[in-house]
Amino acid sequence: MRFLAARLAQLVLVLVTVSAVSFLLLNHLPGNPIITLLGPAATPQAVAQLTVQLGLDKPAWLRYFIWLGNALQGNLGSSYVNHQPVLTSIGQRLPVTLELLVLSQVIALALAIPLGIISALRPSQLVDRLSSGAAFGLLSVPGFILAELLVYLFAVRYNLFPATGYVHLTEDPFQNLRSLTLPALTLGLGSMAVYMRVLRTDMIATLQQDFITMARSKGLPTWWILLRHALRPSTFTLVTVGGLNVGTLIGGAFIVEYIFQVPGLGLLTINSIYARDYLVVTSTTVLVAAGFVIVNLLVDLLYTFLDPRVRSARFAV
Amino acid sequence: MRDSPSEPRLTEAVVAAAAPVAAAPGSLNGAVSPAGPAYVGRTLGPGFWISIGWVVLMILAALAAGVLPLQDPTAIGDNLPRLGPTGGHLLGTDELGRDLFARVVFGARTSLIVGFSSIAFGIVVGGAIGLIAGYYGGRLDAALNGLSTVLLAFPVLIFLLTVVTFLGQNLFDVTLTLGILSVAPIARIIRANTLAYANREFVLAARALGARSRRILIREILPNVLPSALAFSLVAVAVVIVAEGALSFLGLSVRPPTPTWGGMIAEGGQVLAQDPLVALWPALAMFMTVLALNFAGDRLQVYFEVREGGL
Repeated sequence: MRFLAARLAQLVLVLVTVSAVSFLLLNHLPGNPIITLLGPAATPQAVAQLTVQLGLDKPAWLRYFIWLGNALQGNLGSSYVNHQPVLTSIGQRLPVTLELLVLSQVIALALAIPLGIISALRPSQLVDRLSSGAAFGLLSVPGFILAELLVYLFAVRYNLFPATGYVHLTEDPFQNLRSLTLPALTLGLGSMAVYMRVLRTDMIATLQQDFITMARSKGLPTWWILLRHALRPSTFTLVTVGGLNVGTLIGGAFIVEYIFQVPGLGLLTINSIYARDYLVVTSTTVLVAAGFVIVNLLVDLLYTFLDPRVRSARFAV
Repeated sequence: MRDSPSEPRLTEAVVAAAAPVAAAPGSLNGAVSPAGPAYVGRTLGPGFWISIGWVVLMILAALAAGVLPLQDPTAIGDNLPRLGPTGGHLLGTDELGRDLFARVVFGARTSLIVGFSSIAFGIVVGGAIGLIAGYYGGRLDAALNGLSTVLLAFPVLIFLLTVVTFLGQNLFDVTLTLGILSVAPIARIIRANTLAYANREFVLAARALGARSRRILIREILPNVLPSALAFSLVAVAVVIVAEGALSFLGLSVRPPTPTWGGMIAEGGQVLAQDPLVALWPALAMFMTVLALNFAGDRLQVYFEVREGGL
């Protein structure tokens, strides 16, 4: 319980700091939403009127506390630009980002787990050398380069998947999957390289432990030992790294959403930064930070499931 | 080491956070296979020297870009647009008739200056903070912990976007921003390494002989922490080069017409169907450089770990 209380206190601290920093930082940027709304040729009277109307004449710190007060009551304010409530736009964008996230992680794990297991079973053999080399190479490809490579291969050369043009799930589930294939693949391949490497390293260590020797000497089949005995205790680092990755991606994979024009949280955030839509950016930033902290908490709880021995060590503080 | 269970996690988080798209936590986590033969680590191997050679070549090209017999990378209209690779233009020309070879070489300037300078800044400042926090502990240590928890949760790209827009899109400010962002992660790693040495026998011996804290830090602990910091900083330079690439890809790093790899890749992306080579060359240059830095850092880490294990 003390563990949970400490983590909740940490969450509050992180959220307040992150929201304050992003709010004040954004407000000190050159430009403001008025210019976005009225254009550069607006008359001074119109600018002054709109400034008062939107409440932008108050100092930034005061507006931050007003926003914080409203946010605590569940009202994140409205966009200055299109007057849509921030909660509504987040509600529209979040499912898209989450779908992309799930797809990418499915791709990553579907590739990483088998490759990691085979590599660990026979280290320095052909499969291990090939997949380790490929993983190392993939880790050195920045996401935006990988994205353009995939666009070139699958959209330009062979017209298999669209490069942009997101189709909503409710419109056409098949086209929806097609439109998300390339972005999910970009994210998934990047994650896959990391996952495979950490799983391989942990798995090699697990396979040298006594209980594996025991299982072998009992004559259990190799696949059974690998999947039922060795896999679960070998996933600690994988779960940690995966949790961090997911925590980061909840806020939207900014560059990938930007390149493929996927209308998720990342694209919303980038566009709102350009438009100086302070409340939207602050809200999404807070959401990202919250997601990150919560996912990490879940990861810590998951440890106890992966290895019950951790429970006593962790909760007996 | 009261928080030892979360220690490795945060270290990786830092790198994962430093480059959301192409983070390389695995290479820090150590690709050291416990089952691998031990002698592999005793030499750095040809791959390491090839990697270092490539990085040195890039640095030399970037430094000498001004005096090399290259065309003006920003001159528009001197050549025909979209030429293929020929003798006159080693890599051809882009949509505006600019020589791609010259642009790639000048682009290396931006990437490498930003990469190496910001990490140099990060190592000096973050290294000092990490050493002191790890050695003395106490309030500074707690403050560092709190700060990096907040920084980790903050989406790095949003931070970068706003700070660079605020400070200005020029080489110095971009470098400074990335340098400041690298301080907390580097400090954490140095702190963890310092902790591992702070209570070792030779430190105790030095203290028993009457050495002051400053001497112990500089003469006893620093030389032990430095090798892994060196290995880590090579990987960190790669992370920063990718981060700068992402910024310039979004058009938020150094302003055009100054050539940057990220900017060139974005421009090439517009004409992928007509002329994929425009995007290929800068992408290849960036990939090779990042790969070389990652590989060299990885080898160096294995090399130093084995040496320690052999003692």
